[in-house]
Amino acid sequence: MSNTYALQARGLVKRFGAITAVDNLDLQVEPGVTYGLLGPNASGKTTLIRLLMGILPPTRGQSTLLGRPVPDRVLRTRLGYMPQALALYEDLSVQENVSFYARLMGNYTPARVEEAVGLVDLSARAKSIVSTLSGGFKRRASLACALVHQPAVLFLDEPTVGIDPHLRVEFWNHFQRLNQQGVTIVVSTHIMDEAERCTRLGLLYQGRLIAEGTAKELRERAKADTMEQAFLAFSDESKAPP
Amino acid sequence: MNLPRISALALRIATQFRRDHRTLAMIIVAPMVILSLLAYLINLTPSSMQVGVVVEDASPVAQRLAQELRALPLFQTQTASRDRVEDLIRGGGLEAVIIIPQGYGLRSAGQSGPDLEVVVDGSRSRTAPAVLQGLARATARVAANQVGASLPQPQVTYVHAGPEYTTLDYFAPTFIAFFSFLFVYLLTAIGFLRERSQGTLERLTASPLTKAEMVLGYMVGFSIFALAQAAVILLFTVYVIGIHYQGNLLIVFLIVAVLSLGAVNMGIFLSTFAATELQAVQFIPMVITPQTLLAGIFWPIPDMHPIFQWLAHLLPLTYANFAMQEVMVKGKGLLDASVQADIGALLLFAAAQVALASFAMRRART
Repeated sequence: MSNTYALQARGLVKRFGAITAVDNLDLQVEPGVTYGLLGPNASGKTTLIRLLMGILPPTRGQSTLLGRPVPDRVLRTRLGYMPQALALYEDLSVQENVSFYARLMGNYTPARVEEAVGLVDLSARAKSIVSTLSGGFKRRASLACALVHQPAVLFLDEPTVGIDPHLRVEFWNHFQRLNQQGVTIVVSTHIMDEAERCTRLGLLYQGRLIAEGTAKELRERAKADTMEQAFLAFSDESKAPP
Repeated sequence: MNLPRISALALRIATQFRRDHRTLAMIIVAPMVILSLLAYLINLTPSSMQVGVVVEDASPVAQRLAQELRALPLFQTQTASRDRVEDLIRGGGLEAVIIIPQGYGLRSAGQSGPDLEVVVDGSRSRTAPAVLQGLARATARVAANQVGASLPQPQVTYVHAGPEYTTLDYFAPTFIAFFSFLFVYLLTAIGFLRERSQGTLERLTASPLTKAEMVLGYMVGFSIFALAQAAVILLFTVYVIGIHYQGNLLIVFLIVAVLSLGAVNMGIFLSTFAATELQAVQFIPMVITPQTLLAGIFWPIPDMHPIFQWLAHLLPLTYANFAMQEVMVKGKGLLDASVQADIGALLLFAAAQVALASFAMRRART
């Protein structure tokens, strides 16, 4: 597999018993872009992210991250992950949560923690216990935990679920800034509007990558006005007998 | 093995635990309350029993026996008549009645005669054994008096412990180990369950942290408190309750630490079979309670059925009990083969639990 991609997967399959969550999937993501995995619930987005990060072994297929075969424990210090669940210790403060993940990644300095907390605009609440924060603030704290060690590739699993439109815009602006700094982002979402903000998109349906391209390309190919219409057109096409 | 990662995990657990004042109080105060109650109840002086004595025989031996029975400190005796015996017991006035029948004195002269009769309430477990024990003591005194002798007062020499040791002194060492085992299991099981349910396990899995580092981090984090708990309980039992002990207390800590290692991993292993915190707690009657019954704390293991003996030798608390008794009651040290064997068995249990916990972690991840 080529080293020019930040991320590359070939023939990935993941089965859970009789259910095929990811079905023979090929993928390439260039460095410094935001790659969106767009699909409805249970389309295999979370499983695919886990496979790409190497925290779940594939049933078949292989993938590389930053040119190294997955899984690679050393590589994990260069990956950031924001799972769909908040994944925070509710009885610790924001600062303590972020510090813990920084230490785990071997990249702890008080200044770096302060910077990560500042990036998500939580400096004023750094000492607050997480359980006392609102849902939006918890999401910010969760993002800070994923960013604190300055990863080269950031995996975000539905990062904007349950947050208000202002914070959603803030998050996406922040992702763009990270791209400018060379960070590759793989983000899953089922919100079609967010897809427009991704550099490239992969449409997932029933574990298969049914279409790929920029949002504009996908709309044009599907002859659709919106991403939602485009997605429906591609998913109908994938259901049709060959 | 990366020490900064292990210490990061241990530090996080310690910070969370330190902040949980209620749990902190529970692991310190609950054992103190239980041990204080045990100390009080074990040293309880039995209350006297209301015992009726029916003397139908006028022989000197019968009169002497009645006199010895009245002199027993545990018995509050009153004279009764045979026809009212059952009424007096049913009415609650007496717990038991001892009848010295007509002709009893003939037995002491080597002739045949009737034996003593005892009627007991039967609704209390202590009555029959206590009455028979008192009766045996009184008849022995009468027999000794008849031949002009006194009851033997043997001189007892103790190889271990001493006459000052009470039942509590034998129970307390095991309870120190038991409390550590119970709380470390419980806190790890719930801690790891939360790690799964709040999604942080997934983030840990995505980090460079290895399974071995996670197990060690958990063990260090919880063992700090297990040892602190053991220290507080030990100081409390030694200096406040005033138990007697021998041996080096540092070996006691070592035994608790090795036992905690097994408990941490058992907590991780079992927590993967629980979906809620309540379910993790529900493992206690299944996993912990049988150990307290079979570990030789209350009943000697050699008296048990071979199957239970075999089972008892699979349980960590059995070896913790043996080791604590060897050190705190017999005063043995680390050079003693039996102490080494017990600690070795605890290490084996811990190793088995590490393997099971690693398997469970893999199961939890996939």
